[in-house]
Amino acid sequence: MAEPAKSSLKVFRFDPDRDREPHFDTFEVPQREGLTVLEALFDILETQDGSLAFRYACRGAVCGSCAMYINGAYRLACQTQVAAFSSGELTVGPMPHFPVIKDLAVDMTEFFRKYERIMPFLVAQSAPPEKERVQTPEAREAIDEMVDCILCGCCYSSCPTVWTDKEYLGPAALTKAYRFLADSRDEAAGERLSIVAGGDGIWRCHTIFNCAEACPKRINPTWSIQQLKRKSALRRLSSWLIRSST
Amino acid sequence: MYRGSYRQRHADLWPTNYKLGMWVWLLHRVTGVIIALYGIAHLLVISSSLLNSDGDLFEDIMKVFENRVLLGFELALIAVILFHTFNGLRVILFDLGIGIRAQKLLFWGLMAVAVILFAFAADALLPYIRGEARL
Ligand code: SF4
Ligand code: SF4
Ligand code: FES
Repeated sequence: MAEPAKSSLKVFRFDPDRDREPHFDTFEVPQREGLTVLEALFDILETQDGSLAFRYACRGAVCGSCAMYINGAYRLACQTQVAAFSSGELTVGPMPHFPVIKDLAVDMTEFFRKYERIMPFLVAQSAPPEKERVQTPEAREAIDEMVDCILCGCCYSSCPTVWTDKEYLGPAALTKAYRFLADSRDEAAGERLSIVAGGDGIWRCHTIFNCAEACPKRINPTWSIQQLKRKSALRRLSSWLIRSST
Repeated sequence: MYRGSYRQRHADLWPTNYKLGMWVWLLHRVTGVIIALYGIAHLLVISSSLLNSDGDLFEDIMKVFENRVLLGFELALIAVILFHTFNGLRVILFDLGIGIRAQKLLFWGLMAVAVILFAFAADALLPYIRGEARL
């Protein structure tokens, strides 16, 4: 039988305990139909180099663990097929603007610290109803896009404002902030707007759209951020008008 | 233990990996700086008219700007200003909540208008730059 065609993966390697500088190792992986980059990495791990480190969980583009920088773009390894690159050559690296823990696994502490800052949960002030806080399908539709975010970090790593402002909340956290603000059951709009309109929030976004280009779930964080800007500006304006009319 | 603070930063800073929005944003900064520098130079030149009361100096300086190379720069300046103006409109529209989901289309649409206006400017200036007409 003929040998199956092989794809070659140039994989970023960095072991902080041993290496001073990172390097790339090239591995040959047998091609088969439907082979994803994540599966190719498994192949390497199982048959060629057991020390390769990478993150994954769901293998189905819903957990957000396997975000990487593959052939010049942010992608989920589990959602990207090796065959998508006709050259059969892939360069696989960690997301560029996160600190590397080992190989392809990055440290997302800052990302999740900022996520926590936007209160990523429903806040209700009114007394709980007898059964549940009802949401109509139409009201849910308004936030469908933002609910889809799997917190993979692609948008965050791609954002020039994140690169230059250590405290900038970033596109993912701001998208989630809008997701809760726009939720018909949420009752903390004022507090949410105060958080996102601070010095490290929405006004630092320069509408560069790198985030929207990077998102593997086709979410447009810029859109959510601009909604937050509008709401925040309107709130300022109305509080001025009320103050100056009294 | 992990001491890793290494980031592979340069990977997505490589220009061939930039998407449209990134290029436009960078160009907007660069053209902004050029326009600011031009503004300063312009004020200096114009204020030279205050230096001597009969205005000879100012006239002499103005003569320098009839130079064809400088006229070429002026045409380039028009391109820079048109880009900055029309992309500036795009950014203002975004802040009003308009066109965010069609940012690329909006960019090319506005640039088409800018190119048409530039064609008018080039049409007017080129004879002077080529030396076929004189001021
Ligand atoms: S649009 Fe805003 S949040 Fe998105 S990459 Fe650009 S600056 Fe960052
Ligand atoms: S918005 Fe998209 S790119 Fe950003 S964290 Fe969510 S899923 Fe990932
Ligand atoms: S493994 Fe969960 S998103 Fe790829």
